[in-house]
Amino acid sequence: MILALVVFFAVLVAISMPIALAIGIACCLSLAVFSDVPLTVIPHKMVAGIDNFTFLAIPLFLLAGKLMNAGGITDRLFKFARIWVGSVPGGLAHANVVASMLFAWMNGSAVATAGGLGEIEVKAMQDNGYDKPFAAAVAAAASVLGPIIPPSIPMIIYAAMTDESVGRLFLGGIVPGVLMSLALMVLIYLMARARSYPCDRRSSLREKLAATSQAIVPLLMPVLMLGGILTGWFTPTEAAAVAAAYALFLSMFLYRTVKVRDLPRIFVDTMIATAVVTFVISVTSVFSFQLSVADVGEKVAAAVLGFTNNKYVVLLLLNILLLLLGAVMEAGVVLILFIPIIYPLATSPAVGVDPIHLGVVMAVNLMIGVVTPPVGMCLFVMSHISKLKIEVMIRAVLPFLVPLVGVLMLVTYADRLVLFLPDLLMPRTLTAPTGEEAGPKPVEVKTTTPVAGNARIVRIGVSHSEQHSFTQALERFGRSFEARTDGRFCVKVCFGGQLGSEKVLQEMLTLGTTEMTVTGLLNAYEPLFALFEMPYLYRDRDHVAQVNAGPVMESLAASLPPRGLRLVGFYENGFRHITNSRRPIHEPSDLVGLKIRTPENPAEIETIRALGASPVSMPFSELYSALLLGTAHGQENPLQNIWSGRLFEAQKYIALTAHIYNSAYVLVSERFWRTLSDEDRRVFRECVGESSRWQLDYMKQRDTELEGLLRAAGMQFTQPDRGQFEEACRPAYDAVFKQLGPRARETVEAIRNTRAVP
Amino acid sequence: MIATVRRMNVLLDRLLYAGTAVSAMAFFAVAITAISARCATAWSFHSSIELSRLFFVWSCFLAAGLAFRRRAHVGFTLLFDRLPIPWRRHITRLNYLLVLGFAVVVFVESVRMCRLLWPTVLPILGISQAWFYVPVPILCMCLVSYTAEFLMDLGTPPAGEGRP
Repeated sequence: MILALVVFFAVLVAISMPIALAIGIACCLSLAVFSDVPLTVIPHKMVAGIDNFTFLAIPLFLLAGKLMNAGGITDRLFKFARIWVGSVPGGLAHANVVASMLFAWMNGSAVATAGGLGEIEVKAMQDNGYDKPFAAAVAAAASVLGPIIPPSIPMIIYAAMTDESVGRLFLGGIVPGVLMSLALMVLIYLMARARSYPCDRRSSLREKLAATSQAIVPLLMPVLMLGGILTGWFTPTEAAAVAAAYALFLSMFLYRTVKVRDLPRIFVDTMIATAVVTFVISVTSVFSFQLSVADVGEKVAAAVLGFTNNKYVVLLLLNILLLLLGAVMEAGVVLILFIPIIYPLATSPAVGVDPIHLGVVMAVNLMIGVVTPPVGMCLFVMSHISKLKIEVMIRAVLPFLVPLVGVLMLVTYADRLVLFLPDLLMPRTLTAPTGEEAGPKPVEVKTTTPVAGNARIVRIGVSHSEQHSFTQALERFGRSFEARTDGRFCVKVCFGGQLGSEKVLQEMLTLGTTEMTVTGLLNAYEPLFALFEMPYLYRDRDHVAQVNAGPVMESLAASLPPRGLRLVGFYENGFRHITNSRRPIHEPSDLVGLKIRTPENPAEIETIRALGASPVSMPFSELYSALLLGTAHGQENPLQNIWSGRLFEAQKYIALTAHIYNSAYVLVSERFWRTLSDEDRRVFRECVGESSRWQLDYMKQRDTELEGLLRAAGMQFTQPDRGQFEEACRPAYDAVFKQLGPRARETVEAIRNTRAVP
Repeated sequence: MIATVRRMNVLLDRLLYAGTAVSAMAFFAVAITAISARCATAWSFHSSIELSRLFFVWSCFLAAGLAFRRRAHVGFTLLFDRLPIPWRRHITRLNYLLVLGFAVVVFVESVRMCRLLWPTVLPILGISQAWFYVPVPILCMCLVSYTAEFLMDLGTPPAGEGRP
């Protein structure tokens, strides 16, 4: 299937089909011809691929850049750079690099940098006696800095696709960006001396101060962004919105160069530029799904590791591959297509490349591609701006590739150059957060046994990591089900969110594009499921078991099959506890004034509100950095999520409130279920039951173990009085009953009255 | 016939333009409001994540339609540009037919998907989760309509060629 997909794609690209459509058509053909997965997976994955909060940063940073251009801010930056460095030999070319570096702090795109500054720079250099190809080549080479110095659109894409920290990636890009600027300036200095290029007269201090005062307000943008992130005012993704708002303020109210009537055009132009990238991401997620299902990541990793597992050899191969691909394909497309294969291979324990280092190396590598022939986007932009033939442009830019590739080699093999700043300002271990809604996406599939010739494949998607108790329980289920059905079924557990997030996996069951998953989000299908997460609803774990096996659950679960799902068992996510970085929590009043992050679930939001804290909604992927930087003071989660998400690194206090119990629902696709014989269904249920018993027992002892581990990690525990908290949570019930209607009160009463059947 | 399709596409283009502008401004406004609310007040804008994601998805798909009409999607034309002109016309026609087929398949499947997911709700906003998927059939309709116009244009000899 994958070979056919790649062949279709190559043929379509060769006949000039736009890349996004070529991927979409190739995926459609290969799914239709070689797979039993319904084609509904195409539109579903297309949306799921871009429905990611982190991606919002792409249009917002592009918008900031467009507003800067429209507001004439780029002109001020160039004048500022010229006054300060114009007197050095090759002065205007140096000003070109410095202005690009400054503009790079305000937008994340090479094309925006070339397009925004290129025209001003080339004209100024030509007017001052520089030859045009040299001027255009400097502008093209300097545009590479745009996506390396933060903010960076390739890094945002990388972060969103791997669940790595955007903030750490941004910090990782600073040193390589500055080194590239310096390397370019050294080359310019040498070329200017050799070619006797003119330089400006030395500016007086008064002139320098005047130029600085003209540019100081836009120059504050990076300070505002980094300062806001580091002081916890906003997360790195939200910084994009702040940058755009600042640029809007400058252009509309301070410089008054942008009018209200210009805004629709600026927003639409920004979105068209964004859509060119996001449409590729969108269809590539269908491609990634096919790679995951066909175990391609695992096979490529095995092939490369069979050849070498030396980190530096792997990095060298990666550099060669990406430089070649970057030269013939658009950089963003290469990044999106190859992350699912390269990331798990390079960051696997056998190779051991730091994920942040890998992200920065990939960004630097591919950004060099924007100025390498034949498909360097910035070459085309500058060729268009300077009215030079592309061949002339290519010849002129070649010398500038030497310092750029030199810096690439340096940052590839001296990883401290990249990791020094992230480790200093946002310290973090290698492990990425894994938790309730999302997790990292190592493209790895556990097949419990090799696939027999005509064995039917049961794909289980789970968004948690390999070590998570859900994954372990599902693997037990798989082994048992395969053994008891004599190899007629082959169970594949795709963990780490490689088939999608919890929400996406649940929808895939409805659409019949995967067979089984474990989620906690059934309130999307029947809002009353939210009631099982009301505070202090259960007396203890035995009560939970009685409710799950009782008539209330049975009646709610009956609403699922018509919606394409069937509830076949329960795992445990655990009791939720509150952590924070400010103070120990003994009683509800200690929570007053704290900003506590909650999932987007009415029961949990109302519980935190009833306890006197301010509930804050943010995606789980943003939580770690939000806690570390103080954007949120605390959060609430079961111990296993606090541990696996490494939230203890950012939180000092934990109150064992056990205010909410989280069940996890084991679900199968109704479409799949209907194809099973009665006997297979019985065996299936028994195997789920066995794995469920194992998981529930495991969780009982795991909570005790985790408490010890978290204490050893330095967390301070408090054991608040349940009565006080239960009393404080009462208003949450009224609020939720109001939202969910009269059946909610009856359901809660029925849950509370559930007793063990004698 | 060509004139009708062209008029329809001009209308579609305007609708897409307006839709993109509104949804892009909306997610920007939602993001800024959420940050301001959190920093300056004790009020938290809980539906901000669902809303901003929803508007973002809409604006991306609507803008993808605009990008298609403006032929802004990135392609690889090095080999194509070296082919003789008659070959290029045939290949372009083949490409458009493939896009047409793809758009029709995705349209049918996305309508089916929206119907299946319609009963599911977004926990905070309380509206159907299928609203996230509605822009896909809209994009496909636009692709079909725009491609039809491109195909008809291919069938029309360029001005001054074969005409009095």
